[in-house]
Amino acid sequence: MNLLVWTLVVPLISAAAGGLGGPRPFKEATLVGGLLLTFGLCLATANQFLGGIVPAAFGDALRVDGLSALVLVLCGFVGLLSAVYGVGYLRRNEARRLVTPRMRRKFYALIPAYVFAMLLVSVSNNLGILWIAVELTTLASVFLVTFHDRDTSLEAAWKFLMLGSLGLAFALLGTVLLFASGQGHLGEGMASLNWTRFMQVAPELHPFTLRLGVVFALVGYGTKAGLAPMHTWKPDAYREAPSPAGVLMAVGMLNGALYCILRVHLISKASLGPEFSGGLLLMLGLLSVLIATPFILIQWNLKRLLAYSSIEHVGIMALGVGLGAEAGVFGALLHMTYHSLVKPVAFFSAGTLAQLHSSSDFDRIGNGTFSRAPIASAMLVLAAVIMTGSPPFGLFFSEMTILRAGFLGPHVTATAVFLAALILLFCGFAYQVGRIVLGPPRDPAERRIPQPERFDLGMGTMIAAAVIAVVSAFYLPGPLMALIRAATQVVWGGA
Amino acid sequence: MTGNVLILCAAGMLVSAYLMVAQKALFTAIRLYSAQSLLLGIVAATIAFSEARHDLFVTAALTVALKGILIPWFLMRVIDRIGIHREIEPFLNVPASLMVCVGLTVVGYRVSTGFPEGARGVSHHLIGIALSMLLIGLFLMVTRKKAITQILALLTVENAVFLVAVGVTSGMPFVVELGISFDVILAVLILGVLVGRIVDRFESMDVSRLSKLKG
Amino acid sequence: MTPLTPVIHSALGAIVVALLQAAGMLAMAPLLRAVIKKMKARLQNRQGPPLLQGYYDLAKLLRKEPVRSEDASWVYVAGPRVYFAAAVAATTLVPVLVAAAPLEAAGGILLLVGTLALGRFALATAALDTGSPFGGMGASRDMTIAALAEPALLLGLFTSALAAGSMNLGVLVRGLLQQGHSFHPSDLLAFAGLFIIVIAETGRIPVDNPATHLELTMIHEAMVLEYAGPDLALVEWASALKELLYLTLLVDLFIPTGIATTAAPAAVLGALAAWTGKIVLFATAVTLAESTNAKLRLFRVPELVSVSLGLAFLALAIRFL
Repeated sequence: MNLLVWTLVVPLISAAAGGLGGPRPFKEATLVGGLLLTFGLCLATANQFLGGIVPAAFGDALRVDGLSALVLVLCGFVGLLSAVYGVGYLRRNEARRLVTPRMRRKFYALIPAYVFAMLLVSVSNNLGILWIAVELTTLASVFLVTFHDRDTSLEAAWKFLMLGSLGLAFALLGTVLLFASGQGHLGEGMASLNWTRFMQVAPELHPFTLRLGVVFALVGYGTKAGLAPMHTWKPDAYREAPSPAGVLMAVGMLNGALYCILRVHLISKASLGPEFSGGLLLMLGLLSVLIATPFILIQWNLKRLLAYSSIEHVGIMALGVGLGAEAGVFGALLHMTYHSLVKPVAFFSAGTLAQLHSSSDFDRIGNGTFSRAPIASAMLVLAAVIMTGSPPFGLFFSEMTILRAGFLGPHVTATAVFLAALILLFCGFAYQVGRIVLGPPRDPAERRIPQPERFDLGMGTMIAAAVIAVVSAFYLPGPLMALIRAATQVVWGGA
Repeated sequence: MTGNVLILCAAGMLVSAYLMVAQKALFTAIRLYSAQSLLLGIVAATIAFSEARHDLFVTAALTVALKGILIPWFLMRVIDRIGIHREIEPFLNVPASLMVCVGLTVVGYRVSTGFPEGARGVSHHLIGIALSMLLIGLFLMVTRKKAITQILALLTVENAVFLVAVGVTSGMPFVVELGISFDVILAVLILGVLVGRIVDRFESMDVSRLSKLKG
Repeated sequence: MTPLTPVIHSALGAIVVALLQAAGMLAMAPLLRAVIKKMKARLQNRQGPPLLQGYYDLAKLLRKEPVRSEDASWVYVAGPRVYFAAAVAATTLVPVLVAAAPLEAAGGILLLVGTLALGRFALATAALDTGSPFGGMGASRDMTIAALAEPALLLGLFTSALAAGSMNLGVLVRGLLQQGHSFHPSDLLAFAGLFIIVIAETGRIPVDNPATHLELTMIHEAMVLEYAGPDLALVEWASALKELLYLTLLVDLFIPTGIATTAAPAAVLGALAAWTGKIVLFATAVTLAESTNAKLRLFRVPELVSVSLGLAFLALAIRFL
């Protein structure tokens, strides 16, 4: 079997092993070891791509180009972080006797399964396989949302699954319509749904059917990405999912869904020109950024705050692509990379605070966490600073790139609105995080600390992630930069 | 002849969607869904027969077995277990809902005229009906409160998508079709499990009670 | 292939055919009710009444002396008679065995619906006449349903009229025959809509229950509760005739194949066999609908009828798209 297939098989094996019984150290080892190996294989695959070979399998149904390689590496990276943090997370909960053997099995099976589905998304060249893979991510994550089995987690899971399935039904219709638009040109059999085949025959596609298909597919995959106005499942699911799963959703799933959107966008661009789907992306992206703003200002829950931040960021990426300039595309992909590096820090610190206080609601956590849990609080502040795009960190550069591209291009008004929203978002985030971390406790009872902050595996992962996030602002490894450029070439050049 | 069978079945699917809108007894709604899926199976089989596409027979068989029999049986079992048989008053009353659905069908039909195959003939009706069913399914989803009805609405949307798939493209590649069927059945199973848990927890299947999470 | 020209040529011939057709339909009508009763009983594992029971009942009622309330005026007496006359008149406007309505020169769909409405109006006013609470209640319920059912009936008929290009039922059936086998989705939608209307108009479950005299639910029976003897016989007979008429209408509009296109005896006999078969088919459908559904609560009935209105409207709309 070739390298690409192994990259997908390893997390599956890990999931199977996790679903079986067995002593805890063994299961922890399979999870972390499996995902470590997966990350290694992702890097190897990307390296193979950079070396000039195009990794492919099953008659090009799976194929790695620049965009795939970038998303693959980021997913592998987040998968590994999530696994290590997840082991620490479960240990903490086990110390408080909150974990049943059933929950443990579920956790160890579903996390790698989720990672597998996301990796499959990122290397799918076949639009049918792509859809199946996205549906798999949804199904794998439902029971992660209900992990804590509270009333609210059932509600969140219900909304997540209904909205997700509806979105996917749209995406399926979009796929069918795309396929229909190329009737007679795409050929027969499995390969007829290949993205590469679509790109070859792009000028022949029937415009009306294609337009309709693109709209449905963008709305469908946009639901999975959490673009407004299809974002409503996101805050609920983020709040209920345990932090290791949350980070997979916020980074892996987001990147995967964006990958789907970009593939559809590219077909549309090749056939109908950049305005149609680009305009749609610009609109959805701007709307996402605008909708996130007020909800961040009135937020009452730490993880929902992160969800709205993630809606904002996916909006920024969509907007960057939609601007229709090479710099915008580059900025969007850079944004995706930096976002993937910083989001884990935010989730891990928020998750730690939530675990210490047994809740992620603001009134349960109470103000002034810095005095109670200094390390997690400091990390949260750091993550907030990076995520709001403050210099000198990475997201500042990517946002500046997008803004510059916007002001130089035809969409100046949209860019100006976007800039204003970014400033508001910065203020909102600073207000919320500042209040939680440094605000004066409201009454003495709040000063009581239910759990002391301890240095454990979870915290180690958090600090490691923070170091990576900070270092990446000043130094991106050469190969990663090469991947971003290759991805930009795919999205801009359509090659 | 083939065209007549196709149109008859597709129109039957549309009628079943309408009756579902007017229906409050959950059992009947499930039976309507089952009938709808059987009709879809017949559509697929007819196309397979007339165009000699043998992989479509498998699709037809899968549709009948999974959506016509297995999923309805599973949903009936869920209802039996939780013992709730009727939909409560929807957000919009039945006559108004029907009028909205008529409007939606007109929209669906209008859109279908843009397709190259859709200008006239059998495909025009298949696409028009499929798009109408899609819109009706969406409408059901937002106006109904019971979890099971929402699942049925989702499945109606799914059927509509399949009708487009067989009507416009005469079927997706086989492997993809297989994967999609597998995913759909898995999704329904998970939804069923969730419904069971929601009922256990809230002693009701009314999803409008699931409204703690806001903002 | 099939003639578009009228099958019946002379005015005298038309009158003769009209009389024959009305007599034939009147003769068959009680049988249809009995057949449905029998099939329903068999579905419930009962023996059911004999097939000729309808005739026995009518004969018994006709022999009796009419009993009328002291307060009853001529309206009360005229009600059943107008109702009966309207039903008989309506049969002459519908093609049954031959692809022509005997009196098609008189009018088409609108006249048919109007005639039936006249009968209904007469019966409803008669029910109000004595001032008894049941009559008033029944009349008001019947009219509530009719207010929704009549437009739906008209819309459904218009859909077929549009397909064939004429509002005249004879021309319409000939047009449908000439079009052959092409099928349009609106046919099925219109059929579904009209089928519900037939159920509602003939007072069957789930709209009304012909076998009950429970005051909470009855509609048609409440209206005619005061009648006895020959008056009641006329009402019952006319209702049965209307039922047969509606089924014949469905046959004409949706499966006209088999109807005679010439007045040759062989063709007419063949058409009789075909017509009987098709009526039995629809009667089975009605039986199944009655047996598998529960009676709807009264205030849910308009919902059901509005479904048919929706379907009929949609059928019409799709024709234009």
